[in-house]
Amino acid sequence: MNASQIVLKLVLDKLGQPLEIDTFEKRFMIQKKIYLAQLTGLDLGYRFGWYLRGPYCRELTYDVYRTVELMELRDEDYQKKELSSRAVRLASKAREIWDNRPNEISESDWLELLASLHFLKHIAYWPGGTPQDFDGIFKGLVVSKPRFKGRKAHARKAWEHLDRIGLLKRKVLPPT
Amino acid sequence: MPGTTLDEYRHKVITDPVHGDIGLSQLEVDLINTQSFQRLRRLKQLGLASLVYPAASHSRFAHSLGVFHIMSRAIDLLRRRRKFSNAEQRTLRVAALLHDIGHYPYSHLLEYIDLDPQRPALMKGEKHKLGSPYPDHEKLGELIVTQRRDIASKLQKAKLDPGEVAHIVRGTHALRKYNQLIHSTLDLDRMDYLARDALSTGVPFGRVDLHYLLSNLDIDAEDNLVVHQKAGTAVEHFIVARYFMSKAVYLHKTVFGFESLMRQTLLLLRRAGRLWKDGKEIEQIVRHPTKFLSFDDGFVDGLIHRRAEAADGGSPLGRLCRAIRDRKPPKLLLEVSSLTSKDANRSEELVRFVTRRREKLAEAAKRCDIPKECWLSEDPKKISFEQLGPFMTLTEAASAPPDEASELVRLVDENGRTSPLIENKSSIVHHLSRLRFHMARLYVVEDDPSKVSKARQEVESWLKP
Repeated sequence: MNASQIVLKLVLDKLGQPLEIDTFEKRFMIQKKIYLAQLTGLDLGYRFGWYLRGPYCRELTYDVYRTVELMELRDEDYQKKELSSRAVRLASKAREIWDNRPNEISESDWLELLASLHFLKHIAYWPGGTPQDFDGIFKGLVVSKPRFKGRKAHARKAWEHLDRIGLLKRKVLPPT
Repeated sequence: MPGTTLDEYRHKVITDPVHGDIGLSQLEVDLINTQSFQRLRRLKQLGLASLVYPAASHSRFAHSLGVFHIMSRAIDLLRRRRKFSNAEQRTLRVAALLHDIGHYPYSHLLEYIDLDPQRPALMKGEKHKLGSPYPDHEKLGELIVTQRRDIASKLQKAKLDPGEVAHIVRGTHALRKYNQLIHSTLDLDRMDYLARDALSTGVPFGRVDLHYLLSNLDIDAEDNLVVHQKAGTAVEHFIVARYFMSKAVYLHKTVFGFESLMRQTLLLLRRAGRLWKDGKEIEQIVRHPTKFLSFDDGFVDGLIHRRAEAADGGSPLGRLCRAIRDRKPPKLLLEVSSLTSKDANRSEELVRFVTRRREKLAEAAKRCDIPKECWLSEDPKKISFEQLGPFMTLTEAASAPPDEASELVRLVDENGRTSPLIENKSSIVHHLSRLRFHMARLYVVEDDPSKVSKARQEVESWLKP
């Protein structure tokens, strides 16, 4: 395994996300958790585009498949390595981003809403300028994701959560 | 008819050996004539492949024009279906033209080389504390489009927002349908490079029926790019051709050996502080009026030549640089490959080779008196018959969700129904999807034949159970 693959495996372990790819759900969780984890300053170098199910990074997919492949080839180099204390701290902080999920929202929807609203607020280009309020961003969200059309209340909860943890005012969390 | 869209996009015509005539608007010609765009002439599309296929020295400039031509046909289709307005067509054509403008010298070899020394900074006890990582080429593209005056001013003059064009190039526009087109459902990038690489290498496998494919492009109800069912055979040929081109050209023993050698050389140059310090420095170069114009293959070649001649020429880095300069291919010590059913167990030989290579390489390097930096371990990426994210086979692709399936080839029938080609059981590609091809290699850069022979014996012994 190269350093990128080792770090990816170790970070996913710290995030409590198994490096498993047999279902879409698992691959989806990896995408969204890495996107959100990078907002703590734990920059793994993945850059995301705007897709149907929210922020998505092809290079991350590539690394995930490659790392699983190497583990199947009994490459266990990652077992000899540890994350730095800073990386461990940021990974714990990342888990706080998706904690406190309201019971009525599934984990995958919660992650999708958090990542998508953040992306639309801070990264996406909007002709005529980025909307500043929830209603404007939500309108853009349902253009790309019609399935959230009748779920404005869920989206609002995710929006308020981002606000509470400081990810509306800032693109990334301040260093601690 | 003066003033029509057709007329606007035929202001100038460039003749291309793959596509024939490529029509351009005044604005597109102006953009191509900028110093920033002309830099692409100095990036080789196939890296060091010309060391094996002498005529394979075509540039990223030619490839960019080819991809632009294919994309512009798709964009025009969408406009005629009223999916896009004339104004949107103009913006999207420009984004298509500029979508590769941020490529690094030696493209992905250099772009990704930074990640390995970078990531250990997140690991405990790591000594290399580096600055910010090198930005990806899409980020560089964004900087070029928005901050280099020659490009940005022409866009502004034409009343286009450089920021918007840059976001389409990056795939981060809030209107997903724009991103979807440029980062397309049908891999338009591959459509060009397969045909172009076949032409320039002389390897016949990539000679796909591009014109028939392009004249059968269409758009489905969900704005996906699709191909008419009657061109199904041409699509199958395209997919199978890709497999053979990978084996014959991209994974060719010597081409890939040189690529591996270049990767290792760049890594050592990076560690020795001979390349750009960090991502910030790269961004400064991209903004710099003149330094950016030397951000090309020639710059890297110059570095390599200087190191090859340096006083410490006996160092591993010096040896590698000389091997590139003097065209001394790395020697392939061993290759293990397998083409197996996806559900079958992995080849024991492959597992044994990869495992022992990992465990015994350092020891073998000492015994053979060849510096460990001169041993090149490679596991070329698995060849699949259809791209659905890397390493995903067609069978997996059939049940894949929209994001991951974004690169699947879809066919449309006479009734307008679309389906992925892989679901068609009468297609050879459907059956090939059950196979996967793996390969692992080990090369060495060494002039002394007796040392190479010793190394080969040592490595071959790893295969014994």
